[in-house]
Amino acid sequence: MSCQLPADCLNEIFEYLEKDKVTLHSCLLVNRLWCEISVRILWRNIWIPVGYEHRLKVETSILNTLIACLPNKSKTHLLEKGILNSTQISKSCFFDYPSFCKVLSIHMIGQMIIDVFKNQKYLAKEIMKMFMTRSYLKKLSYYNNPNTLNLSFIRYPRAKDCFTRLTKLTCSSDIKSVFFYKLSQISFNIQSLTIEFNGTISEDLKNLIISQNNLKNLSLSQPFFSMTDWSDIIPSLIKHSNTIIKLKIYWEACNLLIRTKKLSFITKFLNLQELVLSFQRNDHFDEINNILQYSIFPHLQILKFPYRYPKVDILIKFLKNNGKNLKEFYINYTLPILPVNDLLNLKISRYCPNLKLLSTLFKKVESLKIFFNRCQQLECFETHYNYGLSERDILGALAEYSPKNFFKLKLLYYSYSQLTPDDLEEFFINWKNRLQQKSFYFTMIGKFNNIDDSYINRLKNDENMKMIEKYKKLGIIKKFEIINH
Amino acid sequence: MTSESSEGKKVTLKSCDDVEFKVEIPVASRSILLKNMIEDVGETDQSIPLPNVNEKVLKKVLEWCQHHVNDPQPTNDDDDSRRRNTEIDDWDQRFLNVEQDMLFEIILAANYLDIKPLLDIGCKTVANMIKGKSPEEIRNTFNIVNDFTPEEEEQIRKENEWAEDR
Repeated sequence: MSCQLPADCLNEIFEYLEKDKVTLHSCLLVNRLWCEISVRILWRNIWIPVGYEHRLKVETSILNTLIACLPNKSKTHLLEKGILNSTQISKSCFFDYPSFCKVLSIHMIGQMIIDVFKNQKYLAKEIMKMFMTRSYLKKLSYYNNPNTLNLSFIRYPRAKDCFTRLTKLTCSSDIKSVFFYKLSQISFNIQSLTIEFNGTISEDLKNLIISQNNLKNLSLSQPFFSMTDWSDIIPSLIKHSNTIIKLKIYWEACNLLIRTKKLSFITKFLNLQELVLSFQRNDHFDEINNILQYSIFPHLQILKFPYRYPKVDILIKFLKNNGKNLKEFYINYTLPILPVNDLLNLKISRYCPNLKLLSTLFKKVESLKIFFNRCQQLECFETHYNYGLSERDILGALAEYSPKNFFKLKLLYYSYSQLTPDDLEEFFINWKNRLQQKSFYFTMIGKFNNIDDSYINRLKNDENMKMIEKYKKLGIIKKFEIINH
Repeated sequence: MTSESSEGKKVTLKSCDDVEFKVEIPVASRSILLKNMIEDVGETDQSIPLPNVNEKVLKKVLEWCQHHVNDPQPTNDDDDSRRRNTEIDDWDQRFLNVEQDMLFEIILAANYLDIKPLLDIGCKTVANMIKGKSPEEIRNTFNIVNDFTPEEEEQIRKENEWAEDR
């Protein structure tokens, strides 16, 4: 290569590999320049979940490196306490790795120390002191669970500098009040806040929310066994009604009384661009059904109902008021509640002409054709194959009637695929003959309860794969993947 | 974006090897560097010298700008959401199906001229070339010399072992 890329371009390239730790690890060992740039991205977030079989190995490796980065004073202290031995404290590191960490997970670091060292509060304290001294965190994740460190790290020297640039906080509501109090004195620029409601709500959580200057994304979740009452915290959330553009509510709890008259606050967020209501039961919508039909969100672009959804007539009224700018719409259908007809789909096509992505279920192929005809911006369609149209019908309608920019199909499976190589070939030939040629993306998503490779292998039918490879080479299909969800 | 006032008007760009290109202002304005220059200087007959871009690369970059002249200007989305999308449009993919040296020259030019969408697809293309490769394979692909000592390499490998096989 006569032309070498400078550091800033390499940095841009490695940013695309942020989540691909294995490739970043390779980049690290290419040469000194690549190493210096990729190491900062590799260590930015080390808290990515790993499979159970690798967990202890990964945790031990991270902890060994963090221990080697500890200041000499901490190492001596831990040697005196008999927690580290002389070999462990003699190591020093090639880089100051903690200074690259922009994400910290308090419960995961607690878990890590318990897994590797059983329970060593002294070690946890020295590691947390090191993070507070050397890191400038962007994201903090702090859930209260039995392994969470019981340390007042927020009071450590230099914690102020460490948290000043925080933009994302994920926490449970019952963390010690002093943490929220101190944070409210330090961090004013949290843009993304996720709260899991458990036990009591810390008094100072409200103050922390109020003290923020630019809260944009809000995610609230009520786990299954939670009985927490949100009422106290709602006024502090409403204070940000002008800046919040993304609102996600995950409601698993079965206690209806707790929720009653709590969710109507969502109508205050007039600048919402994304609304996700993930409710486990249909009657969870009872309270807001009446409110939704009159709600106006002039900037709404993404609407998702990942589990249940409001009453159809209410949803139609909502879409009539808010569908014009909608670009993505997801509605999930699962047994035993399936649509009896395509009424909602036809209304979506009428009120949401600018949709680019739709996830729904069609009963009749004629309705799908009408939909394609009306929604000319559509690029991606996602549907369950088992409860609606056959795969053959879907592919046939796509090749013949989908709008010119369409290119992506995601099929969700609860059982085996019925597609034959002939079905695929017919589709690929028809796709090739379309006036507007765009390479096709096809994803099969297995939603199997039993994580069993045989189900996935049945989707990877050999003959079908050969056919897909043939048309990949011809450039008709660009990407094909099978995912177990 | 084509604006009524600038439509039809042209600006002259001069490559480092002294070749001049007459380009419509909306096309040149895909480059934020050029857009700002044009706005600052106003209408002029003088050519704008581009000391970092040669004729061959400039021609290629302008081909991209012409094709994407009507694209919306990139928004100030945060980097996270910009980088979430790793797909490359068919036309862009064909456009970047060039020799490695040319690909790197396009990236350098996009970086210098401040054409973010072109820089993005160039970087995505190189990232896709790196994906899944071992350090040795990456060195071979890009003809890079390993300048670590064996001890350094071993120490870095050991300190980052957690990322090696996840």
